[in-house]
Amino acid sequence: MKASKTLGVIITVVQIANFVALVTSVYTIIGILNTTLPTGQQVIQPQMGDPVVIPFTFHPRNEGFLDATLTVSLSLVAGVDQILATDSAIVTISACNIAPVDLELRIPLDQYQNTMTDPDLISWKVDIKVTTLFNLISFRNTMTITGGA
Amino acid sequence: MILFVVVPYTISPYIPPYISQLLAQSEFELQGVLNQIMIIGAVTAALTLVKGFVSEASKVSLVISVAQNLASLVFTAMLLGIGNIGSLGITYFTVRLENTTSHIVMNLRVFIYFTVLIVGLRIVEAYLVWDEARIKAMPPGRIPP
Repeated sequence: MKASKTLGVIITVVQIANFVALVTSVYTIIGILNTTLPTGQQVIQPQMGDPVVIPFTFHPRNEGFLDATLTVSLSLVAGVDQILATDSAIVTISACNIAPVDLELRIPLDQYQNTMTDPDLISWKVDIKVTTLFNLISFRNTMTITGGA
Repeated sequence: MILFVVVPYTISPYIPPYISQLLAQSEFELQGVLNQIMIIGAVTAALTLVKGFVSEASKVSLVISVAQNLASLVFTAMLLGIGNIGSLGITYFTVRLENTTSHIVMNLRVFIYFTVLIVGLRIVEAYLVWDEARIKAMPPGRIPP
């Protein structure tokens, strides 16, 4: 076999591996993002007390064929950049598996009462990062939702 | 030529309005990306055309093969960077929808490295093919240098 033919076979194998890695990685990331972000209207039910606790549960599902690491961070922000409460979690979701993520925002009662009177002054900051393919590729979405929605 | 020049040139009116609106909200310049695809497509088509007229054993053929492979590297970098070749696979963009602002970062740089590896191997393959063609084109009895 000629050297060029042998090299041609090697190139074809590398190209196929590259294509498969790209497709499976993107499929894994899209699947996790679709299932992490809640759809439709969400009802937030604070547990009153001091501090006030606002619980959140995400249900990310890895429908892909690669393990992935999900980092979720949630913050409640007053005004421009005054962070009232924040919580974050890192989970590794193996292929074709589910890993619920529970977050809790704890806000002192007096701060809660002062800021929640005007929902237009508060905003939510959600930071979601998914890495896969042995942490070689990643997708990060930092969302700022204004108006206390 | 049809895929990379004619299709991008004629596709704009056929994009559904809601997709155009979404792209506009994401600060994504579709026309800029289509222009880049057309330029790379035209260059690749021209190289392929010229290659058809030259001998496989000529140095011009080798140079054209290398240029074609480099064009495919630029094309991949453009696709992975969504129009931004210089980002080398790390893309930043912002989407604004009603009261939500999303800052998105995609890191696909590893596929740029993969493509560089593939293009490097293809350039070596092009050299081997050219060398084999050169030896084959020599008069009988001549010892290759």
